[in-house]
Amino acid sequence: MTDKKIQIAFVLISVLLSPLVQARQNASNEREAQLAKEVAGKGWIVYAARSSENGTWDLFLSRPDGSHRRNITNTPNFEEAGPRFSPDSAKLLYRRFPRDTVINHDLWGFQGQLIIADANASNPVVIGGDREYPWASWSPDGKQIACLTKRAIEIVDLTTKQVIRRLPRKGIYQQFFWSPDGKWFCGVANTAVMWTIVRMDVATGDTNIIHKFQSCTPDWFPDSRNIIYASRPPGQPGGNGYGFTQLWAGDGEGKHPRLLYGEDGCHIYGGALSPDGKYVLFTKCSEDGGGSERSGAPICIMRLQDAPTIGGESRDLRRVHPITKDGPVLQLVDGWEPYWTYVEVGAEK
Amino acid sequence: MTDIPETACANRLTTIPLLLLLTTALFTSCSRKTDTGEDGKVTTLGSIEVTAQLVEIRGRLLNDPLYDYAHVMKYKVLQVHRGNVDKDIIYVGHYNPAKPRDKVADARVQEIGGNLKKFRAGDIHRMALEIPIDDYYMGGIINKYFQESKDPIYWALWTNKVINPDFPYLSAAGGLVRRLSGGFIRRLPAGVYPPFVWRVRLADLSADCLADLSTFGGLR
Repeated sequence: MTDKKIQIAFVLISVLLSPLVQARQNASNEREAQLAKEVAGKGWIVYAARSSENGTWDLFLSRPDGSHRRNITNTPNFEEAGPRFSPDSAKLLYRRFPRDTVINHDLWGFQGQLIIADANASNPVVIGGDREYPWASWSPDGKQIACLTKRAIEIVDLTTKQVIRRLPRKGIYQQFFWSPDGKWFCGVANTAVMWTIVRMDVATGDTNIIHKFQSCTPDWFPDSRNIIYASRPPGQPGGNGYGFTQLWAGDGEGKHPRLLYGEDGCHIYGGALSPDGKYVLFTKCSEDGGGSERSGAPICIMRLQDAPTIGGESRDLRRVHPITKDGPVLQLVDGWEPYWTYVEVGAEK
Repeated sequence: MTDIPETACANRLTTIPLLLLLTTALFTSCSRKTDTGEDGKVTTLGSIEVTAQLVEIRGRLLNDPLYDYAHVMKYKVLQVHRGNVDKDIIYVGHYNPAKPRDKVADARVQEIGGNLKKFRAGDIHRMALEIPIDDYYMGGIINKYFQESKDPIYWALWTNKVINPDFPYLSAAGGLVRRLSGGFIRRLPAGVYPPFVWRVRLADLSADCLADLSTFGGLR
């Protein structure tokens, strides 16, 4: 076949296939639009993102479809990250760092000052000095916080700032969260191997393994029975054998681990559930770490009922998980560590 | 002078190459000096100070700029300078061990250092330590001894290299060999790995192969 004939064949094939490609794209857009419509009225998400106004990390509120986005801290002299609504969504807990601090994706809970403000970030109160109250996490009633220090897990009364209880941390070293029912902690620990997700019984201090090896950023489902986490399974050929981090969930006994979302070429972090447990928030970053050292990564939303979903072509991942639902994924702006409330905290006054 | 261990690889050398070898060896073999590793940091930091031989590095030392971790290594205690150490074998966690000790301090671990450039089994280190590691370090720990030892892990705050000129070589028969033990030591050309040296015996002009413990791990 001559070069000219090959060119003609190529053009013909392209012309024939283009309607199919376009139709598929339209269908995908339609499904995402439907998801956006579905979540638009379901409260607010808060997240850290680079401010276009001052270049620092600020906190933003938006509707879960990305609309009504607004900067709620707007502090040119500080960086802010790690926002978490209190269980009643009356307050917002986050960490504040001096301007130009590089927010380390593993160390951020140790860095900076703990701030508690109203849910829309007004009336911020500095709770402690630099590096104090590390990895602070709300108690179910919002009156206490649990902190992860080198010496122990400390439960602190927010009114008196007194430590009211200490527990051995049993190898937990970062990303530490109190369950909504108050009965459990979860975190990343050294057990048999490092980067293991564990659950700790608050009453006894006993721990059990949720998922071993190369797993991190655990967080609770609203039912306090399941945990969402990021995991980079070994043996992936992609990324020159480094592999890609995927979003997983497992129950509190460490059983029934299941893939929620994965995409070859992307590292999935920041997993969190909507308050009713029906939707999943996460970030999707081309580089490992989640992007906190730079400008974050696209915040995404999917339905939990669509799990497992695999994004993109992802030939390697589809080989391991041949049966997927591949539901729509709504992609919002770049951000980091998003969190969701159904309370109307974002209404402009 | 110590006994010369029997060798498995003794070879006869011809006279002319031997003379050349000996001439060179005379200029190169006696240059190393004793360094006890003592300095202002190692003698004051932490509650424990030991001189110990790094017996084994189990597992690969990772050098991942994105993640920090401590790697647990096995040591044989030679001398306790401060504090209480009640075992001959101890397990010590070193932070980001792929980095030279004088470059290892960072945002996560600030008061840490030393003059050691590289960890090699067989080397002797003077270390300022704390115990248990969890009270002083929060981060990933690679502990390949997890299954076989439940001893608490020490945390290395300061690590200096000790140069002991008395017994720097290991013979093929497994014995430690003094620097000048009735013969001459000749280093092989640079780039030869692992770094073996030749010991030439004056008595019968034979040579045997030794491993240089200062550059190659041999005591496992």
